[in-house]
Amino acid sequence: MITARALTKEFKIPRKQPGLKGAIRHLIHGTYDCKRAVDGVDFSIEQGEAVAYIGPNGAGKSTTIKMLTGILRPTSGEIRIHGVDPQKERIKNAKNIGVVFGQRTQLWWDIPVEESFSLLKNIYQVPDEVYSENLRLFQEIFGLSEFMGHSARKLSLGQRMRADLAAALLHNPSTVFLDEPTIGLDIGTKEAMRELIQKINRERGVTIILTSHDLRDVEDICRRIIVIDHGKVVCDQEIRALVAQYPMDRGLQITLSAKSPGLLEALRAKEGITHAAMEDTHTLSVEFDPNLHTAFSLVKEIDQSAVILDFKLKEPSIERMIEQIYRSGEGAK
Amino acid sequence: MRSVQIFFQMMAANLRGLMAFKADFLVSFSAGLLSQTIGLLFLGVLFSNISTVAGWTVFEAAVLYGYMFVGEGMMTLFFQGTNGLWRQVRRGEIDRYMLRPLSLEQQIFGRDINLAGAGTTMTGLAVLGYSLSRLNIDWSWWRILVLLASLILGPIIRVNINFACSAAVLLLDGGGIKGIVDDLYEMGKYPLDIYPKAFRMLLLTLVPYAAISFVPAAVLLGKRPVAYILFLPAAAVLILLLRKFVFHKAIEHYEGAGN
Repeated sequence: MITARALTKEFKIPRKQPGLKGAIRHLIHGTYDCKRAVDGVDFSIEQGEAVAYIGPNGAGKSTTIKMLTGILRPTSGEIRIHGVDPQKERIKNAKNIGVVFGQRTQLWWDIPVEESFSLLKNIYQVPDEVYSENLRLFQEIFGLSEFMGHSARKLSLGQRMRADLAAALLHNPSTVFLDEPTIGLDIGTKEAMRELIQKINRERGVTIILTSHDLRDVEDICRRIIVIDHGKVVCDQEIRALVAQYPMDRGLQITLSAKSPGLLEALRAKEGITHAAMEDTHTLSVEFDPNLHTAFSLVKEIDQSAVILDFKLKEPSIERMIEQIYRSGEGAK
Repeated sequence: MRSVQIFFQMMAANLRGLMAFKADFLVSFSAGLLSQTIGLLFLGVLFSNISTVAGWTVFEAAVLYGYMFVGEGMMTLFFQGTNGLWRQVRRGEIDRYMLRPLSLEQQIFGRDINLAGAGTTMTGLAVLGYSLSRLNIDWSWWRILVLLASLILGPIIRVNINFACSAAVLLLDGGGIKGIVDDLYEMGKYPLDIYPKAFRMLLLTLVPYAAISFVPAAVLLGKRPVAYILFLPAAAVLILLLRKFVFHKAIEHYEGAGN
């Protein structure tokens, strides 16, 4: 079980004026901006859950993950991972968790993957039978053997991420943190990553905490979603409940031959239009309540004041749902 | 015991990683030999013009060089990871260390080896051996003990000075202190007597380069009483504690600010 209570992290960022003069002034009389990256976050995650921790860039996701894994010290608040404070008892916590940072490898750069694995086996004291059983599983899903003899620096991104995920799972951690694990990967590799993550979650009851901008990762792996924005939790729910709760507005994307003055204002004035904006000079995006409008009636109406080159319907998806959550968060401020 | 075993396994992996680049392997090794030889040339030029420095002859001064080379060489060879901690921070390596169930020190010590250190160590041992053999020393049991102790404690002191300094750079978010400590390193190659009193104290205590070279050399050569050797273990303990303290503070700072 993982709990975070009133978790807060503030950073002091030096404010420097440009140029040499600014640098000297900062040296003598430094001023700092205080940035609250994580602001009173609370959650509790049961063993075996798969939770997506998502939010826009700079929302505080990675800072939270770094605090949960013991890298950063919270400014205030409390974290317990299986009863352990990850910062005060870093080594004890490290034995229980596995971590993948999509942007950075955990492997030794210059030595073959195989040797990195055998070093990790010794460091985590993985019993022989667990080690070979895990290697067999990774081989089956990932086909690791083709590059086990290569050093990490020689691997492609796809191979490196597979090796990284395998390395994070070698010691059967009870909780796995995945920070953007599929970033930059091709579809095939993404699917293999998801398959392995799903498997260890469902078959071994490993807790998964995932951050990703790829919502396919979220849909495939997680059952619960925590949305964070400006350091605060804005939504924490089962994905299924969330879908039911958000009567999803339909979306239309319309390509116009030219910008049509007054069109946006006219649309926004209507009842049942929840969103109307130009995505670029020619692309109009509209969202509407399906009880009050149909796509057809709207297209017909817009056609009277502008020339429509093309249009498409946007399906309700988690992505659009999250867009709505962000947007309502913005509105609340 | 297990952590020692893991340390050696990390070292072996580092060595194998190095072997993959054969040309680099040879170049580093020769670079180590070459750079110290250039240092010795300077010593030769110095003593070709004057016969003694503060009462030390050329071979006596070469003993100081030998000691400094051995310390430097052993550090470069086995504990290269204590160098440039801030670089490891930039690359996110410290984050990775923190995710593993090992102490940070152990991972930093075991991070890297550099073959240039083997060249430097060999040059150092050769210079030390040759100079001592030219100096007609009466090798009583306690002199042998002093020699052995200094060859073990010297590198330990060298590594901890470097590690403390590297950690201080991290703590202060700036490299100024490293330049100062590196300049002091050069002072360890000459008899302490030529420096003003404040520098002598500094080199025996806070930045104890003199404990690596001057202290054992002066005792071996009879230039100081035997009890003077106590500066060696005292400096080793002091710098070890200092290093632990500065490193602890640096990591605290890092955990607060991130990279």
